[in-house]
Amino acid sequence: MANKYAIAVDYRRCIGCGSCAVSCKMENNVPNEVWYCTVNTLGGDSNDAPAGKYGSNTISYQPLRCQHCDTPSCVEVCPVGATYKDEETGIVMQDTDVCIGCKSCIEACPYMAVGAGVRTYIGDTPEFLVGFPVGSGQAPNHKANTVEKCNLCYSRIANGEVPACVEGCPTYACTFGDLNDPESDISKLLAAREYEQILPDSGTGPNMYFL
Amino acid sequence: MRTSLSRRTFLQGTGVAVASAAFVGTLAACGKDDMQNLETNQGVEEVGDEFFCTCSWSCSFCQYNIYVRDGNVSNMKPKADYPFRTCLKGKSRVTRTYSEARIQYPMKRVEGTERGAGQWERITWEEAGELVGEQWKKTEETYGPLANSIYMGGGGAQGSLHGSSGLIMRMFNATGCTKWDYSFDAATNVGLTRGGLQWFDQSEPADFVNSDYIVLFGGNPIFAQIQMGKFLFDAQDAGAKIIVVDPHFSATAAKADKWVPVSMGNDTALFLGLIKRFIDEGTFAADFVLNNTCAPYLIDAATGLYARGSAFGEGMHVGPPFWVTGQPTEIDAIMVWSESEGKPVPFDTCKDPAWSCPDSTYVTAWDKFKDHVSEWTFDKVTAACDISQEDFDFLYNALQPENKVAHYINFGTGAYENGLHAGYAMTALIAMTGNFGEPGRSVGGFDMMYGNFFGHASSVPSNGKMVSSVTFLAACDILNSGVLAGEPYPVKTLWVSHGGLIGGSVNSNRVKKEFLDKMEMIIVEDNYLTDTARYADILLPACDMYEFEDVVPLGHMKTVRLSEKCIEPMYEAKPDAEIARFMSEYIGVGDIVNEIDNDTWWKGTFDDVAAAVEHGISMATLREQKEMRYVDEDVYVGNVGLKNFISETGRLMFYVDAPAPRTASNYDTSNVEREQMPTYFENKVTGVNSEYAAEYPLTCMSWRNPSRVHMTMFMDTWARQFNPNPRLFINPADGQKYGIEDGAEILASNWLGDCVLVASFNSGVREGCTVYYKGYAESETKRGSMSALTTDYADPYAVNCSFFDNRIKIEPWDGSGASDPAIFTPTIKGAE
Repeated sequence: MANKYAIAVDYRRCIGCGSCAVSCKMENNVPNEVWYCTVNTLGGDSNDAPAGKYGSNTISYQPLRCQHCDTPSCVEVCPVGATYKDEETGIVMQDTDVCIGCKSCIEACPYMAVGAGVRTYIGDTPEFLVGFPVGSGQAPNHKANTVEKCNLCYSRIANGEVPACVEGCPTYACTFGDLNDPESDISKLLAAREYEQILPDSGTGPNMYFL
Repeated sequence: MRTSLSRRTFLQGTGVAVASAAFVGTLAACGKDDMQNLETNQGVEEVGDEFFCTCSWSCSFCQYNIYVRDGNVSNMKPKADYPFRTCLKGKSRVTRTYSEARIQYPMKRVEGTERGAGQWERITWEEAGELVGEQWKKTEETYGPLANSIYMGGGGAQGSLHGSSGLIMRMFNATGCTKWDYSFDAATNVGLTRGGLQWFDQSEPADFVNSDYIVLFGGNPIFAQIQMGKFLFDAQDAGAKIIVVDPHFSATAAKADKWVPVSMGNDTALFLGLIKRFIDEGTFAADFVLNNTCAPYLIDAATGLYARGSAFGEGMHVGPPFWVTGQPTEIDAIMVWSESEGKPVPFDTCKDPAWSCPDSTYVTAWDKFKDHVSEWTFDKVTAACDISQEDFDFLYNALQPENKVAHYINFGTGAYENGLHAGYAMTALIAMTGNFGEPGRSVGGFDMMYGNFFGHASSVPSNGKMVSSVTFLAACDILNSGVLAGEPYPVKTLWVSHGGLIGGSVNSNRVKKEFLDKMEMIIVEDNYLTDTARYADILLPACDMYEFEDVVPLGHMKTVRLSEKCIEPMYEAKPDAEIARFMSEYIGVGDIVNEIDNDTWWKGTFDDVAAAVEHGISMATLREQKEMRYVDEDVYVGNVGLKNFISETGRLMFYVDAPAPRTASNYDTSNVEREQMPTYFENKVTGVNSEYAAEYPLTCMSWRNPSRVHMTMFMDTWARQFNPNPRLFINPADGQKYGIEDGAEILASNWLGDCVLVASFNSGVREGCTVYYKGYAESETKRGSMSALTTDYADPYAVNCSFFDNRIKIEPWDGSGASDPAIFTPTIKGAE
């Protein structure tokens, strides 16, 4: 692959506000009840609950989206090729014009167990808060009986822009770039900082990093 | 294309709206009109026309780019090379603009139905004008002009022309009516101002990187002013340490290098204890204290008043320029004891002022203050605020004068009865260290007031009249008694503009029964069918921000920002200034309002403001440049040269001989002595010895909701979908104690009202305390509302809503007393 695009999120800067999720909503004209990006709390047992006893608490937030894996399990199981790995960018794409809504990808993806928003099945005709398409207008069509997910703002990247969730982070917690380029900001960041990934042993080779 | 889409969600891509699905939710006010082009489909090729818009909500006032396609606000992007990136709230404004909660046309309550029952009749603007005009004029003729009243909040719209200080104030001023002073978020500023601190002369946030420490007492900017997080994290990257003193593990405490947990509402005790430590150990900034504070000022021991030059044959002296206007002042100079001359001399001519006065006729402010704080041993401090010795030592060491400290002050410490004194004591503490006037040394936080100097000159009418301010906290008493300060004060009409007194203020059940119910007519001008709007007799539809041009001078940076008109006014809504132009004709002041056109307004905004003139800011240049700086520095540093203290003598004060209440009220202000120096006293409700503590064991305060500002997001928006449920954060130990399960619906109640929320266990919340996210409307809770639980008593000098001074009990909710969703779903006679 020419490129290997990835996002690194700095735990220290992420405040869990959800601006990434809403930026994505707008850019991709995401229907009601569907999120391509959500935010998990790393701490206590529920949203926004810290770990630890009073006075020694800790909390972090972990934006969750498709991990755009190197060897995605979703691609292997898709019977119609709606889910595929883009050769040029390494992005795991979801073509809703081809998807038949069989949910095989949902069952195969190990990240579905981590939180909401990695993949969403849309059963009925999708509904929206406003009556016209918002965002860049370049998002895939939203249809009933399909599975949707983050395409890493493929069209924005093609235009030289960063994904909307990265651009929309008010605390500058996210860094996007090409891991095949050792001079990219993200390559340098990952070389300099300790990081972790979600389910690194799943064998899928995720491309989302957390500093 | 005209549609009759009558549901709150939309189906796209079919070209034809399908409206057969069941109605979802309960918030919709009205059906959609023809303002949205439903023919458009996915696969848009066009970027759209670009505009520069500015949020005027009370957070960070971000400017951003809007893109309009087919007449619709369709996309939003951060402005290039601009550090403030719009958050989820700003991004969700599009869904708000096109929300079905919009008030689309003027309406009146159907005769014979109750207020709040949701039965409306569509009327024309002219009919609304006639109805309001008749009531306004009749009331003025019968009871006098003060019997008409207005309530304005303002956190939702703070543009220059169309905001709460805009042209509409020219209209209200011209009638000479009563203005209910909203009386919130005032205590901290009154405390700082009493001490001579100019809160809004803060350094720009890019200066944080120069600090050794950034200290926040009760402030939570990570959620209140999300964009400031970038600057705080940048400062941490540069080596600054962030210290947060807070009873709870707030979003900001979670990001701090050091969280100092304390009990709620007792910060004054902490500040006084730290001051005593500085004095006892002689580590205060002595030169600063002697030459830039009231320390050497002589107090007449018999009267407690300052010794002034006039009593010694001195004429008036030139004082510091008045900080608001820059105009010179004359002062009756306060005297100090000259070491060399051995007598009192004016402070501004004395070369060798004494710390102590040998003449027992006088006592220096320093000696008086030292004596005042001497009781604040660590044991007494920790008994009041429960700080550990280790944390107290840490704070003391961090605040040493050699450290460059940025003090980031928001409203947290001021939301209690004793909030004024917390602000005053904080000023005295900062006075010990003199942390001003250099990179990295600053005091600020809610830095928006300066922008208010970019004027509203034309809000002063030509007929010489002005509104008369009366605190809203006295409103129920006045309506009950018909009396203010012993004089008859009948009020019959209420016009609510730019504000939500139900939800946005305190004690909403009482406000309904004892204030709103007693009005002959309630007029609400708003974009949305808010809790307050639902209670109106007459509704006037206002435009949302994309429908008009305005200027936003407020913000963390020293810039003025344009907000461009992107789309035409939707439905029959009018921009607020246009509402003033229209309605003023009906209430008898049309000629006065309309003698000012918009161009004249903008001249008044900029032409008389030195900072604007010096930096070439006019409406013409701003339209060209979109954002303009009004200071010369690349990064503004506040109070360079120590010239910006705003007391009469230009010094910081920890003794004020004749303190004044913030505003007139019906409270007892006789305890002047308590006000002269920063003084700790326990809060009436949250205090551990409170009379309410036994029955209502849990204190209750709010956090700023990261997904909404005040009451702005009650309708269905993306931001609301991200954070949909009103939650009450409680310590798991308290959950267990009161039989509550995490995630369960609970009933919170007290002597004022009740509210159903979702329990959210949070071990960072102090035991015995609860915290709720602010801003959920009555339509979003299954029973009651949080504003029904908030107290409306106030400190007589601060005259301020004590938003955090509450106590509640909690129990599992059995489903009883649920609100009727029907009242939130209006029926509109005459709607299409």
